[in-house]
Amino acid sequence: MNKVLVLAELNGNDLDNGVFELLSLLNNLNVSNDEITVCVLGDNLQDKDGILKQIPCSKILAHSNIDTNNLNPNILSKLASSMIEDLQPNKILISKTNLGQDLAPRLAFKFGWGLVNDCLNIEKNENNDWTGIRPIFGGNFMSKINIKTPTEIYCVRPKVFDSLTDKTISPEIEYKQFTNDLETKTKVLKRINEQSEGIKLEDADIVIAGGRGLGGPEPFETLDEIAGLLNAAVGASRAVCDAGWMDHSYQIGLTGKNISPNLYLTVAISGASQHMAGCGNSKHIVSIDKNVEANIFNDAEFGAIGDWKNILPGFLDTLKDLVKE
Amino acid sequence: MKILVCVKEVIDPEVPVSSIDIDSNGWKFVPKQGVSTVLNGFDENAIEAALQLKESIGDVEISVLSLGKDFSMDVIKKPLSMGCQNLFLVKDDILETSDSFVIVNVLYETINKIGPFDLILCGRHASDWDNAQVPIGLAEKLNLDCVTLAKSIECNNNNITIERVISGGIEVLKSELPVLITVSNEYGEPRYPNLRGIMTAGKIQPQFFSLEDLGISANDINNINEITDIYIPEKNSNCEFIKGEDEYDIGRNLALKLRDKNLI
Ligand SMILES: Cc1cc2nc3c(=O)[nH]c(=O)nc-3n(C[C@H](O)[C@H](O)[C@H](O)COP(=O)(O)OP(=O)(O)OC[C@H]3O[C@@H](n4cnc5c(N)ncnc54)[C@H](O)[C@@H]3O)c2cc1C
Ligand SMILES: Nc1ncnc2c1ncn2[C@@H]1O[C@H](COP(=O)(O)O)[C@@H](O)[C@H]1O
Repeated sequence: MNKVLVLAELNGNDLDNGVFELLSLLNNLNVSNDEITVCVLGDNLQDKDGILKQIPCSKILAHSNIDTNNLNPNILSKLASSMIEDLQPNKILISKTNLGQDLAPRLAFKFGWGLVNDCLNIEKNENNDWTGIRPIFGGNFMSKINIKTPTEIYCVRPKVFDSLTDKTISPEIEYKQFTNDLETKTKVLKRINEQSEGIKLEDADIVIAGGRGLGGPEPFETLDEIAGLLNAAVGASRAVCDAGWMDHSYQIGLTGKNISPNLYLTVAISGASQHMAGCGNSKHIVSIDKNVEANIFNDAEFGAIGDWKNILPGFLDTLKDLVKE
Repeated sequence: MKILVCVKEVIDPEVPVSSIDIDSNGWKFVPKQGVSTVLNGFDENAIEAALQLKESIGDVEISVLSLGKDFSMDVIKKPLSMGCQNLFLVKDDILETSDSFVIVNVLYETINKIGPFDLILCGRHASDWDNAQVPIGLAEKLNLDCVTLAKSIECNNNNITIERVISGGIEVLKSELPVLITVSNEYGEPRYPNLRGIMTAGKIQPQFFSLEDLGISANDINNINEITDIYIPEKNSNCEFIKGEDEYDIGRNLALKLRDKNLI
């Protein structure tokens, strides 16, 4: 019997999707509901019953009276630690969000437990022991990791698993008062939203992204135009963002955004593994590049080989016709 | 003010997979003949951040610390030629296959010996194992607050203001020294060493430590994660290439194909 603690993140009234994905992973592993406790991190949770009840699990633990200073990890690691001390889990699952990727190592080192960071899947052997699978070297290799400490922590990459939707269970919520000192030297002063207007990159059904081969910022106007016609969001490779052609908030990849649209259309992106780490879960990848040997064609379903300067006009003109129809 | 930057020498992340072998005895990467190592890219960003703080504050001494099995002096002395003052190297064969847990413990013991520092800077992650654990673990062990993914750092006496990259934009935080910060590539391009820097660096001798010097015995070195396999992920390379009379026509046929497949 496992004792699994799943961390869920509530930002204002916004429940991060990670918890649904983690529960789906646990479901794949045949972990039963009574082995799972979902612990919620967020501000003043006492009024959030309605939101928390959406989580398909049987037990939720939440601290009611907390001001987390905008999900400040320095504060939340104290809060999460107290929940861990209460529950004494042998497995902890965290989604690799802004917060999760900071929190997981903190908890690991605080308690001296092993962590599989950026975990893509968990396998179970005949003894019911778990093995975490994680990419290394920018995704060029995969590794399998066994954790040797009594409690194991897995920080799971988002958007790899579909959300668990089980309307038949409804959680029992236990609220606790947190009394320990939450003061930290580090404070979040503000958040500046740099998201471009229109569809959010993470949520878009279609994403069109440009790479270094575009040669400068101007061609992104054409990508914008195509995006407008397709109701798509625009993204970019790190080479583009480092060159300053696009803001870093457009970057897709290991150190950028993690997306999984239905259609991912790339123009002049070579498909380095660090780039694919952020978009490899797209349902369909379609690529325009002049180099037939480019890595991107290992992942792409359809490819158009040639100079984008000539291919894009044909593509755009046809799109306009199709939209008219 | 004393700044410490932790850096790691890694196999050049831009080389193709085919130039790296995997040694299953202890699970390590073995670069083929002629494949170069580099300073972890984000660590160069961290060095740049330290140098900019030195330029804006003035009275700053920057030390650099690295653990490893072997060092290529050209690579590991680069921070000195960029403008850092001291280089501390901890060398032991076992560090090649050590996990983050061990690395943090050894960094901790080294800092106890050569520290304390007002500010510790690290890269956001090392591009070989992509762990992104060491800095946070080190902060936890040193009982310091930790701010990750900095794109700008300003320091005014003991007060420090950090802009950090988050998925929707930027978060602005304030903290106080001492603190540990990890730096991301959004900080901006690291500088190239100039000739004067290279000459100055030539005169600085790195200070080497063995584990024994740090009071660590082989028995203290225990990985808590066990690697059981490393493999190259499979790709299904059956891409359909769109045909056409010329490139314009290929573009046109691509759009028609996507419509045909209901993708747009
Ligand atoms: C630790 C680490 C983290 C990283 N994180 C990320 C990340 O998050 N995201 C990311 O994207 N990268 C990341 N990278 C960088 C990554 O390794 C690649 O360097 C980068 O993705 C390359 O970008 P690119 O494909 O735009 O450029 P290139 O690799 O230079 O590819 C350009 C492509 O354009 C094509 N091209 C050129 N001219 C034309 C033309 N006229 N018509 C058609 N095609 C043309 C070329 O054939 C080529 O395929 C990371 C690297 C490291 C080491
Ligand atoms: N062997 C090492 N020696 C010194 N610093 C290291 C070492 N390994 C990791 N670090 C630091 O920790 C950061 C993150 O590494 P990692 O957690 O291994 O991804 C690196 O960018 C370095 O700043």
